[in-house]
Amino acid sequence: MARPLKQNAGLGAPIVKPPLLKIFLGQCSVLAVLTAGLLFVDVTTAYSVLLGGMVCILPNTYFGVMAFRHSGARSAQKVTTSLYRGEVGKFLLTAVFFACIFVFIKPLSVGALFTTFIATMLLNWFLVHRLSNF
Amino acid sequence: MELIYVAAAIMMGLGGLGAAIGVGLLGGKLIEGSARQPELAPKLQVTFFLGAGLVDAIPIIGVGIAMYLIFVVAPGAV
Repeated sequence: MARPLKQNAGLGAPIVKPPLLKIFLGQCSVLAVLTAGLLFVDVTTAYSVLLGGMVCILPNTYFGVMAFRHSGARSAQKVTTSLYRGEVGKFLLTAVFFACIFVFIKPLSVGALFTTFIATMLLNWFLVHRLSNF
Repeated sequence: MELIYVAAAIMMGLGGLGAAIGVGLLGGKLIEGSARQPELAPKLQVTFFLGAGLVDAIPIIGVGIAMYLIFVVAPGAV
């Protein structure tokens, strides 16, 4: 359920935002369980999975924080500007994280990295859809 | 080896172009929707949040693969 930030007693719609912290913690907990399980199988795969997940989670969280800095129809311009900034930041952060991983982390399981990256993205959509009330 | 860099550049460039058009359209519709029906603005913002995530998924995966090409495949192809 999305939580209203303000109840403004008939003056307009309550400001609704998705529970970003819940989404972040949900993704992190699934990733932690997966990584802990894989530690017993293969350490390289385990940290590749962890890195793949974090590369998705951190830029998405940044985008979420930027996207909901402003709310409401009166600040529509500010909302759109911060959304665009969040989107650009998400792209840049993803590129920098991937570059750093490929340069500094060796050995690396590339298949596990990309698979977890895509799976975490799907998990993010699922959680946003389930936890937001729209 | 230069072709790998060209491939990575095309991957990132066209992916970024697609995402920019998609997010630009979404943002325009968000402002338009907020202006027409201000009471729906918060809901539209959440919908934008999910829509933007869907739009930029493929370009972001493309960025990841491009980084792999640049930093792993290209140095090994020398």
